[in-house]
Amino acid sequence: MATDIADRERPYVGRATVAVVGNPNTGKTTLFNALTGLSQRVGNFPGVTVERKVGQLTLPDKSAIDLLDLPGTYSLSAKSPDELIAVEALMGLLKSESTIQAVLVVLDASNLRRSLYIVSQLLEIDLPLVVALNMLDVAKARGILIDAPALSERLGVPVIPIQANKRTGLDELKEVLSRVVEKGAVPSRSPILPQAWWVEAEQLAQKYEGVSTGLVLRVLIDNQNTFASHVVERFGDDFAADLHASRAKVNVGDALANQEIELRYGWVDEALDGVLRDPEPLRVTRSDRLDRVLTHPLWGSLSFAVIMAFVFQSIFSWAVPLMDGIDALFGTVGGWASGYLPEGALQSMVVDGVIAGVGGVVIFLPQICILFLFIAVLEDCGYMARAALLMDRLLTPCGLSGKSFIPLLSSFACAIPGVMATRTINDPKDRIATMLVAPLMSCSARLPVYAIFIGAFIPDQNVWGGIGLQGLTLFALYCVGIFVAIPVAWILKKTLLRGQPTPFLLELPSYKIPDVGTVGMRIYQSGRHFIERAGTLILAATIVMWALAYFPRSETITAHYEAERERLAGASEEILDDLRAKEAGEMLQQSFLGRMGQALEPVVEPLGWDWRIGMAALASFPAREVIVAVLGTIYSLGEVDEESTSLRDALQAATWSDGRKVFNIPVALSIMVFFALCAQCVSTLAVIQRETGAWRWPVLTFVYMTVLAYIGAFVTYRLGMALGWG
Amino acid sequence: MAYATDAATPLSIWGRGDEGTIESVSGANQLSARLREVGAIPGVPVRVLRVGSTVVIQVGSSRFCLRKTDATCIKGMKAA
Repeated sequence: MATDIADRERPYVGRATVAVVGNPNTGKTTLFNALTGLSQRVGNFPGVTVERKVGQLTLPDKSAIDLLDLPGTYSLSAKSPDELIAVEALMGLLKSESTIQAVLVVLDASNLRRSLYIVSQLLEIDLPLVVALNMLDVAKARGILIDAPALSERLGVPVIPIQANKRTGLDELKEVLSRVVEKGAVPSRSPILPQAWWVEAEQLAQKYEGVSTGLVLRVLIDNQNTFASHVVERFGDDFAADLHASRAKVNVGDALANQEIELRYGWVDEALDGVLRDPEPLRVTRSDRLDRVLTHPLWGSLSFAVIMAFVFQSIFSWAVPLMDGIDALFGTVGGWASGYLPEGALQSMVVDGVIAGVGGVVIFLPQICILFLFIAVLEDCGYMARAALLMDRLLTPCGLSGKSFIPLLSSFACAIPGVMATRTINDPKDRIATMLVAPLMSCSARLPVYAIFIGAFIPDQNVWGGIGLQGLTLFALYCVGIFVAIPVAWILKKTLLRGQPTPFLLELPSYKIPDVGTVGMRIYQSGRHFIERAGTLILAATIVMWALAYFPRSETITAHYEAERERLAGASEEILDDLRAKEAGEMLQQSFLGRMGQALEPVVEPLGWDWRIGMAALASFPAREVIVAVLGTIYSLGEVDEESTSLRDALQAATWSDGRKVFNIPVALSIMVFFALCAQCVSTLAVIQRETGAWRWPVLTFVYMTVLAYIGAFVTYRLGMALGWG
Repeated sequence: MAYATDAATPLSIWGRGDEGTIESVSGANQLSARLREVGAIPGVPVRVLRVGSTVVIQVGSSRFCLRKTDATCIKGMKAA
């Protein structure tokens, strides 16, 4: 059977690519981060939106290879869309994806038997293989002993013991990788599966171009799962017919997929005989004891609520000193710019447009980082799976499963990775329903909006035991999205996406101390992304809005106020300031933005908003955090308070034309509820379109969310006024 | 008639802390296929860690949660 290895040679130009694969929760990401550090680039696989992480690994001889981090999977028999990507990449089916020269598989030493299942499959895809044996410390603590050199001998490939979290064993791993990539030796095929299956696979592989033996074997066995259907679709009806015939020839008795599993585990047990010593497989671990509380129906749910409340409270309280620092910095820069630039349009654009606008957004960087810190810590320590378990109970009645929980929770950071994370959901209808409600989860871009209004209008009172009213309001706003998502998902699953309840199977990994590098990388990447957005999309929107609010300059108003000033020559500073404020207000009123805003006012008045809020909300449809920038620009153009560039003060001081304050608690709440529910994010809608391949889903998302936002804001305002909070 | 303890029973009716070995995982759907791939095959030690509408089972050295209704497809022989 030792066929044409020469024929399968994979020539490449430039840098070699090594794919990193492994079961979920094996420390794959930690290893990837440890090996590539800050050189990694996050993008998408061409044509699909699964996150594609590539990083550069410098080898001992100073040459470099690219490491490609593939989604975690238990088996090459793909059952969900993200596993499909991993398998397609390994099989060389992803167009325009660089060819993979070797595979690095990460194994969990404390779960060795299960981890070897995918190794047995990887040994058959004709790629050089290196095994990284991770988490030996956990295994050792449980009394599990593994003879790595003996395992290497049994598998016929290098096995390198490592501890990704402590960065040990990495030098040896790099050396071995370098050697393996250079030699390109494909492991010899272990006789795991029957000869007859291989014969059929090889015959078919020779008949069709671009089809490898490994690929045919996979679809021969898989029959009707996600991957097989995908491949059959690609290679056409003749291929499907031939495949069917081949299958009929070899399939005697039990389904091939069942036979495969038994044969592979038979091989795994043989390979582990004398290599693995696990005296007590069902031992009760510390994780199990912790889970008695954390997955307990009552205590677990309570712990969950306390953890979440703590997270939201911390976002507020921890960030204050950092935010004050950024605020002061922008204040200084603004003051410096006003002094340096000549008065006129340029100074106004820089000070009122760019600094007031972008600065108003950038100030929330500390809060974004704290949010991602918590998400990364909860994910990395293993708690997320427990939360999904607890949430399954709540999600089942809405027609979803606990599997939807992690995408939904990621959406609290940003709906875009949230929508992409739905690829772990096997059922297509569940997946679309999850995507459609994901943007209702309060993403980090809403945080600046909440923060500015809560900071300005919700009293900083202690309610109970260190929990403040501000933190509670923030928590309540996060709940708004969740409580609306429940009926929306329920209705979707009863109408457009009706289907059977889908099964739910999720691994509960052992708890571990979060890895500093992994958490740091998450924070760094999200912070960078946030700053990039502020520097591009938000900067552009700010300048456009500034121009609309600045032009046209009215000669009549300028002339009128010049005359006034001459008439009042020698009057007190106070009177002159008042005059300047009136002038600025009138200018804004007759600007393009002012005129548009006044046309819009009847629509937003029922929500308690003035035209400026209305325009800022309208301008925020491309990206919701634009509102903060636009309000900053509008209010710094409309007011002449040179002392403070703080948006919070400007909002508190804003008045209607009759002198009444624009903002009170009901207005602030109404704006926040609107932003909690509205689909103000072009990128999310675009991702939903790409993921579903249909326009109707993003359109539906946009329409239902905007309608709900308007109704929600209206009800909030009326209720707040009726309760006398105005 | 044989006593109930002699026959394999679905894990969905096991109590918390019950241990035994897997006898069979039935069904041709993706859930049962995945269960087998992660090691739920005959002879493997199994224990129930949580009961309720969502159950947690330990298969070998891994722990998984699944719905009680789906856990009916796993039958095991309870240890005395």
